[in-house]
Amino acid sequence: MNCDKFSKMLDNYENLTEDEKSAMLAHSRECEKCEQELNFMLSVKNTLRTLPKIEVPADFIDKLNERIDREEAVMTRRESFSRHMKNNWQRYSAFAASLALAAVIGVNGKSMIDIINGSDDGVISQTASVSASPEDETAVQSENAVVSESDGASSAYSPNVVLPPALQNHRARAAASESGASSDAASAATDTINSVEESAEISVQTQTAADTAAAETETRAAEVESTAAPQAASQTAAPQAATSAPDTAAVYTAEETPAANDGGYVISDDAGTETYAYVGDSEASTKARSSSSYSVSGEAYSEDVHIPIDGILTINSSNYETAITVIAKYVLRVYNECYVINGTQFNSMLDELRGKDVSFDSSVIQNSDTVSFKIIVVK
Amino acid sequence: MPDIGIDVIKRCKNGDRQAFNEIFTQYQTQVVNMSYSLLSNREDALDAAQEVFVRVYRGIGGFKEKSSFSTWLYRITTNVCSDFLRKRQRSINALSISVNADEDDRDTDIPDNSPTPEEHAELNERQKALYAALGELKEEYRIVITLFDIEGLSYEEISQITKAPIGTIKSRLNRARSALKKILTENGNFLDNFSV
Repeated sequence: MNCDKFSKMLDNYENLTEDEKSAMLAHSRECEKCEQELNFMLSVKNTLRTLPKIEVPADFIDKLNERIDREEAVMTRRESFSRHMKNNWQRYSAFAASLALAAVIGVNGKSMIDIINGSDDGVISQTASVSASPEDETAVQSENAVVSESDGASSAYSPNVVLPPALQNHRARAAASESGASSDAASAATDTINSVEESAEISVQTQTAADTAAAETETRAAEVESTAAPQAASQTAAPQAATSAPDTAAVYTAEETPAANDGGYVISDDAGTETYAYVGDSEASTKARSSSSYSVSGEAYSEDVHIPIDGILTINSSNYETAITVIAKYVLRVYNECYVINGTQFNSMLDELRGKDVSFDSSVIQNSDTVSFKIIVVK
Repeated sequence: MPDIGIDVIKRCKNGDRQAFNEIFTQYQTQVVNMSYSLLSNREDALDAAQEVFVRVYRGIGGFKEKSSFSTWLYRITTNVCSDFLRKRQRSINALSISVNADEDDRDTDIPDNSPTPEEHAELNERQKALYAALGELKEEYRIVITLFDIEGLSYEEISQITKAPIGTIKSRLNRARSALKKILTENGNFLDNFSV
């Protein structure tokens, strides 16, 4: 054995056989340098193995349990919120869906009747007052076409909308083709609304959800009104399957009105001036879609408590639990099913949702220190 | 030390705090001392050990029992201690302390985190020198020396804990010992203290 081989064997000392160790020992007796190396390695190993243990304080476990108790108290608050949402989202969704359906039928009933009877004049008489902000004129013009389909006779919220000429023509053709046959009227209304929906580029649910919601809608329609309008509304709402991203949420203030000739529209509200957030559409037609393609989490907007919201977070139901767990970490407060979080944390929350492979769509605009949004669960 | 029983783990997963306390009692000395070997500081070792057990409490539901409980526990311990070392390094960097050291093998952290005189009055010179030298090793060397030479774990166990291949563990151990020898030699401890 030479010194090089000795050195290599020393590096692998634990794996040597007894014979190999003996050979090393024999060489070390003849080579002072190798002897020092071997002695050093053995001494270090021995010292490391026999290092005295430090004593664990007697109260170590007590302090550990105290810390666990403290952390559990903090988690309980967050988890109870998350648990509440998990346990009740279906109930809230069903309730909200039924309210949305009632709103859809109320908003659309008159127009559908008019379409069927061919007596509509392109003007929807409404009573809400909301107007577009200047930067949302494009959205306004596309929403105009959508809003025109969302008028209704009786609704807690019913905007006044003047249809642009293009849509008036479209509606006129639809009306002309309906010569009393309810099925023809329904299909024409379907064509009208479908084309309008495509132009509005609303993000809607897949066909599976639409089929399910359509079945639910048909059941509820009989309970709300017995006219052909709700049936047509459900049939027309069902087939929608556009998957493009929604327009940036448009925030309207009552004081802002589009120019007279820009093809936009004015929505007036009898309830007074309020600020509403839309997902690239009027609230009424959003609710029209919501009844057929997705469920709305939480209660409907309460007339008694006005909460300005910055947009809507659409979550796939398969990711709901994960999403709620993430959202719960960031939520400052929940008010009437409107979630409020710190504006600087909103993007972090979205990043975390993406990190956990949660499918979502956000139409939330961050305009202030806090961000308020509602959640829509998509099936 | 025999591994904790499966029934204890099951009870822990059901939220039985008493079962957790059994785990804490059985492993506290080992975890605290492993942390001490890695961090070279008693207070840090106790804080790290507490953090380890809190993570065990929080994460027991995720323990799939594919490895032994002790392997899982040691993995958490090395991860927690690594976090402590990095946090310590960051705080040192923030103070802009410049160090003259061989960066390949040695950690650049100073000030000295080796045991205080009060903590180790009973140690002989050899042990003190070794603790000081351990404190100067790079994190990955410190871990492998601690697990292999101090805790007496096998290459396979260390490979499972660190999730590094066995070949990597072996070569890392060799480099760690070379680094340890270099530090001890530079500190003048080679011949005086480490002769058989």
